[in-house]
Amino acid sequence: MQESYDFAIIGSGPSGSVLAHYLTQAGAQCVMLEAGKALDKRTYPKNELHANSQLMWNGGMDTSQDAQLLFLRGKVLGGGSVINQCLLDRFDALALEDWQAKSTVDWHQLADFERHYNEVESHLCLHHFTDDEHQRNAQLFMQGLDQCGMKWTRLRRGQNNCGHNAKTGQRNDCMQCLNGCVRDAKQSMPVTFLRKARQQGLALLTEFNVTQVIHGQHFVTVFGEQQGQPRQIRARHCIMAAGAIGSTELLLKSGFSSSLPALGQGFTCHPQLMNIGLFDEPVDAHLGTFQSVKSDEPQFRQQGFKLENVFAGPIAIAMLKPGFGQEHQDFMQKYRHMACIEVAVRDATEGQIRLNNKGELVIDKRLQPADLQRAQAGLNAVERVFDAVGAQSVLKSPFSFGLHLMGGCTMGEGVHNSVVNSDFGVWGYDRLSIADSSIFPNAPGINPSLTIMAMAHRASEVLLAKYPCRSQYTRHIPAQDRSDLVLESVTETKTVVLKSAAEKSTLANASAKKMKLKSEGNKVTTEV
Amino acid sequence: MNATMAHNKAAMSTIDTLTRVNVTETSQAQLEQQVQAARLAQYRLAKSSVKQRLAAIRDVRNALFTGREAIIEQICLETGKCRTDAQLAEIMGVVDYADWLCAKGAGILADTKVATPISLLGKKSLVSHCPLGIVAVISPWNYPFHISFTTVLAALAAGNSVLLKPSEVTPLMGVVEDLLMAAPLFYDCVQVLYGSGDTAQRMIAMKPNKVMFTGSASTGKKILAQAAPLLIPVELELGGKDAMLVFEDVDLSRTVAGCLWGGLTNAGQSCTSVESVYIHASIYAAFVDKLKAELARLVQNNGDQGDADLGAITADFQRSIIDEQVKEAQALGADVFTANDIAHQAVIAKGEQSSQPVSPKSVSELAFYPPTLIEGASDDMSVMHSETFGPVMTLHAFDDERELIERCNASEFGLSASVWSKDLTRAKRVAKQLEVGAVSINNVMLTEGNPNLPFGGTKQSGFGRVKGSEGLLGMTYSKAILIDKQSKNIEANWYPYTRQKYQLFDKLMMAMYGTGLKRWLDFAKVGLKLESFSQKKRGE
Repeated sequence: MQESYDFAIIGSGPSGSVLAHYLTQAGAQCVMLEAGKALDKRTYPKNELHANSQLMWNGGMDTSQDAQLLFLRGKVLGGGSVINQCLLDRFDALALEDWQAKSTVDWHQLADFERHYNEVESHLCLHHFTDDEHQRNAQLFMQGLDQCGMKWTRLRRGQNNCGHNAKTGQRNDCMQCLNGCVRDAKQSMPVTFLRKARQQGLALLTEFNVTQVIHGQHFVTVFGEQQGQPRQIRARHCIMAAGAIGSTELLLKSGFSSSLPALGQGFTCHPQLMNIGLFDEPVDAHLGTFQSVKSDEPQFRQQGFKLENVFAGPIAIAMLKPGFGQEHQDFMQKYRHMACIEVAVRDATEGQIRLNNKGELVIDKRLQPADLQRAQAGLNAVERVFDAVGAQSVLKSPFSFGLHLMGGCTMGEGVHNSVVNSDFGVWGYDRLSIADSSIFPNAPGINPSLTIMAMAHRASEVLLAKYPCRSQYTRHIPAQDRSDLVLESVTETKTVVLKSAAEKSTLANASAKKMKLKSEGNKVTTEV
Repeated sequence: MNATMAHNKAAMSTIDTLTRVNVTETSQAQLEQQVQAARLAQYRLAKSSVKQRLAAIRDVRNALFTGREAIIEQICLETGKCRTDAQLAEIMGVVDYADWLCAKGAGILADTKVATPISLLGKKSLVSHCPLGIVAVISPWNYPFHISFTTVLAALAAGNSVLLKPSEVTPLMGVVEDLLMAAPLFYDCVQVLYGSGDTAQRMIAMKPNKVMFTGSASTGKKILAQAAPLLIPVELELGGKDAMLVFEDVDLSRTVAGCLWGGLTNAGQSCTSVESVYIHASIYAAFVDKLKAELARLVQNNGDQGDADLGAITADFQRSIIDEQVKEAQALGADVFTANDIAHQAVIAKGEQSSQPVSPKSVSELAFYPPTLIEGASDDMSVMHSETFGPVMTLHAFDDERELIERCNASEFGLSASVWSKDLTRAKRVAKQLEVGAVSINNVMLTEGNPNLPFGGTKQSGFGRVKGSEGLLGMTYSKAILIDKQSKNIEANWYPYTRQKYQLFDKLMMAMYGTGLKRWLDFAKVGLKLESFSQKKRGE
């Protein structure tokens, strides 16, 4: 059985779900393909081990070629948004200036992003932590920073009633939100954009492992296996939203590298080092809001790192301590006495995602002197902070986690330096777009989730301008909803025939503007 | 190949329907002018040696090889084929044939010495292969480049000019002309006449020396009727209803894979594609199960980079024929299985109606006919006796070899077949009994892969052969040449006739056609006597 849709979206994380929402809202018939299972608050795994094995690619054990970096990437409905901490920060001017310096894309600037940030934030429940929510680990962190004369700020998180009650002292062991939030509080995709998209008629296929994308003249074939059976989907347009590694791997395995020389280049991952400070008193870093404060020190930003209070389950903590036997047991017995500060490095050197001779994925990401220097500056700061608040000893992380996976299909100017153009289109492939973190030109040094959503919103605008919004396939759209969807004069045929890129973009801009005007009546749109 | 031109065409043709080429009929004045040019060019070409012509073909072949990607691009745009179908059948097949011509052409076209009987002692005999003059080629849309170009090359190698009338569905405007510019020797020798059947009729009316037609039986009959009063020889390569015969001792994986490719290559738009599969009853269920499972893995798309397995149906009318046959079979009780369901069928199945008229985009998608398997088809269904020419196969179980052969030979068509069995004695035995022009054993459509082998059919599949030495010689007429020496001698059979000579000829015949060794002695004696009698005038 082969199904046909307007849009096929590969991946259900922050990119795919936001796209699915805006495209289905416009009446497009969309299908979303997710390799992982559709779990929810009742079925999310209840412990760390199962979380890794059930929610992540390769059991959360993807490593770089030199095994110094461990990459965690979601393989579950909702993707990374199910296993992340949902810290939703906007990018600052520095991040976007650095993007534009590399990409030369004109809209890579704060002013252009604001509209998209406003739009996606309007769909999310955002929470600024308050002083009474900080638990002991955060307090130690804040005290230490203060004593060292370093600035800090409260984190902003996507959450809706986490069940903590400062007055009654009720605190959840909320590290389990990294295994999938059990109370639908975390603003992960299945409870936000994806929920809306499904209400708007999104077709969702889970446990569908896409193995090849075949780009054609009239449509794209997405081939894969669902629960062991071959299955294929046809769509007029295909959007890759499988993450930096997923989207890049899929394009590599589909043979696109011959026409996309930059494919796999520019991989970054914000290496994070978790450092444990041991205290005489119990810290109970696992209780309550376990992550609520970050450094806000301009000097750190310039040096290329930031600090956050954080904690993890016993398996991850155990991995931080080399060795075994009595010494390791003694260490783990002090679990309640551990405070934890992580250094998140804004990596300066780019890695490469490629296939080896056997066709297997290789993530060649080595920390170079420039990165190690940044990490060391961060570790020095951590040591000062822990010393200032009287830590018995400090254990520095022997390896790094790569949690923010970015690049591989970077956005830029020209096919030799980038994989997608400023309209999210893959160079030379008219029916293929990428809108996830793989298009990041370089590492921003800021949590990417919100920006992925903002860019997905922009991508949805570009796509709706390019294609007539109404589905040709099956869905019946009530007449009153349809009036603002029809773009009278812009047909796909005309768009495709245009020869020069300039003409094309003029048309796209014109239709985007037209759409904005038309939607004003129904929907809140923030104009820049 | 003019790269810029190809590029512009590509840009124009990105409009989303498959029927995108508009061809205007060649005017009568233009046609007459082109025929005249071809005639004059042929006089010139006839003076060249085979060696010179093959050297020119080598230059054309090199131009084709260099420009192959641009040609593939244009073929894909006009036919809707998937890229690999275009690459293998249209380009690789043609380059292979050109190389074969260059290697074998000189030997085949050289004068052939033949034996001279003893009664003609002292004389020499040979056969000379002379160009026909102007060969008219009417080519189809399924392999628009391969069939046109291999026929053109064979005709040129033999020293002919060509009038080529490509299908109006897939004219490949300019491709042949551009390629031949690589060889100045062939200047004006190939005249491409664009247009429909009307142009073809007016072309035949210009009395070419031969017509080579590849296409449907109905058109073939019209051409034959037009050519008959003009006494123009015609070769017809018509359709088929080709069978695949699968015995119980086959390797299932290989045979199923062969079946899929044989039935679905070029989306089934091959005259020799497998249309009926006869499977031994003992493995029928296992074979069909595997066939269905593998069908789900096939990717149907075009404009691809080589990853699609099947492309589109090139001609809209063909899609209607396919669809009608399948629907009729279904209505009459056959089981129809398709792995890929196309958009509008999915809509119908769900009972949902599209609120908007079908846009051109959807229309183009309808050109992708899903690979289809039909079980339980009976002889009253047109899918059993008419050519389908699409990605559709009927599946049948059989028990008995003899009955199977009779069943296959009962078909009106006789183009090709394939026989699958580990037992090669049986396979060859079956192959020899099938009334078809080609049989592949344990493979499918592979006789076409060897340029040494002739290609052509029997019965309603046409007559005449292309490819192989037979096909190349079909571009010539045979001229018999006997060489004797100059002398005073008068031949015995020349005048005057006399009673003595009559009696001596009688003895000569007895010596020549009688029995026993002694007759050779008699032959010599009588021969000498006749010889001396022959030199005498009447009355001497």
